[in-house]
Amino acid sequence: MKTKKAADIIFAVFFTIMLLLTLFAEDLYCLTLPKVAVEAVERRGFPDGTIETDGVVYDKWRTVPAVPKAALRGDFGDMVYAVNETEDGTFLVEYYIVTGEEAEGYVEVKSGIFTKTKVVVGSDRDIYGGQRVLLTEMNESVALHTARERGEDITSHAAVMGNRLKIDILCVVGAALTTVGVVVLCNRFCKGRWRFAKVPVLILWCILVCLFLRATVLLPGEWIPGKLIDWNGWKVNMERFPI
Amino acid sequence: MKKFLVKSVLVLCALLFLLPILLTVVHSFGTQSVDEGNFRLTSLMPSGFSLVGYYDLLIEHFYVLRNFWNSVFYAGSITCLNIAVSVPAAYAFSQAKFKGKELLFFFYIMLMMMPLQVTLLPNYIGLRDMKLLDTPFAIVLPSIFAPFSVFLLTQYMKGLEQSYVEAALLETKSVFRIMLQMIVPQLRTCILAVFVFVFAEYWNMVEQADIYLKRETLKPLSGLLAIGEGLTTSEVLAGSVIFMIPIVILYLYFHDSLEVGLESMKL
Repeated sequence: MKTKKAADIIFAVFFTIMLLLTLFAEDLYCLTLPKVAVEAVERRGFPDGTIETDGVVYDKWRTVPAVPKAALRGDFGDMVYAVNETEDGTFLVEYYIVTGEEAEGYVEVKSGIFTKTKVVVGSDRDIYGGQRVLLTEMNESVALHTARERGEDITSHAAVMGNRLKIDILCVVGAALTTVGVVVLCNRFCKGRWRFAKVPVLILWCILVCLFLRATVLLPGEWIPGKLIDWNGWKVNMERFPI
Repeated sequence: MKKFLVKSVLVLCALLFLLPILLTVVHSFGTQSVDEGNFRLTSLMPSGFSLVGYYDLLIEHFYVLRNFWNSVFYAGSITCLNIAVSVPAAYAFSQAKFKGKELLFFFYIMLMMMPLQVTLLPNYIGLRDMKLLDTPFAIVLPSIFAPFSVFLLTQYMKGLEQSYVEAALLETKSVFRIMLQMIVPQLRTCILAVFVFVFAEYWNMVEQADIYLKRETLKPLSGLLAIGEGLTTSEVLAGSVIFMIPIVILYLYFHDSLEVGLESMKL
């Protein structure tokens, strides 16, 4: 009888985990991908000296392709990450460019990249060429990491992320407590002829909790879920804790 | 002293049988050093504890989960349909009287003895002509009529008291009614034992999936793990552990029936 009970428990736990993973593994995988904010390379006006007509001096402008200064990376500031959107996902491609003058946060591109190409202006964690990424808006998580990368003051970003993290923790704790409540209620009411309902109710509840967490919890980008599976990863994440 | 020595040798033999499983389970929780060529049979413990294999397999290669459910579907449907076909067939072999019964049963046993590779090609040609290749039917259909369960059930049914069947024949002439209401309840333990055998056999199938199926999306987990294409060693080890769990659950549920069933079949 004890073996049967153990089998019941292993069966329920194993297949619930497999079911939840089947439903949410792709979402979890997306959580592990870096989120990047992008901006397209566009033609912009740059000052090109002055011109004098009828004794009046005018500013002369030339329109050339330009990238945001935030997109420049590499030791010599001559490399940008562009995104290549394919059926298999969005991947980063390194482009080495020849830059020219700088104006209003944009840098002239003399050669190396075409206009309309989307270049990365911020990411929520360290990125490298060839990596798969997800496109996002410039949110607090991206801004925090970008500021950290540039050695800027991160206090305001960290405060926002810290509050966000507190909400996340509250959501997780709330979900865990209500789950305990549901288990207790199930044990109390799913008896006799309603015994069969216990496992389906719990599986359904687990799916609902996962949907809720997916909709509400936003892990800080600098927390890499892929690293939460061993102790060293936890340490790395704790060191990067944004508060 | 002699008894102790014999026992020790037997325990050692049992442990040797368990060693591959033990190594698989232990190293599935190892760090990625397994992939760096550091995996040695002599190293019983991995260099560090990590769930990286499980994470990589279930999250990064989440398509593997689809293959897991394929395995559940194939093994489950084949087992149920196989038993549904085998019980009437075994009833016919054990109770019915018709010409050539012994010869037919002999062919059944011959078919059972043949290695899978012998029947793969005829099955492949048949499935190709029916345009069923690369569909789930290519796996399920030939397996429903596997003779092993018919043989086991026939052997068990031959041991049943004939007087019960004769008494039932006085009550009704319906063969199906006798089979369902009188024979099947007596076969319960044997059917459960057959269920475990057939499920385990088709849970572990590799060749059929490799030959009859081309699409990765249709393959069972066993086929995927056997090839291991695109998976690292730690992922394959983690997959093997996950792959073992349903069989362990099945054994925990039916081990009593399995033992009683085998005993009563004199196997």
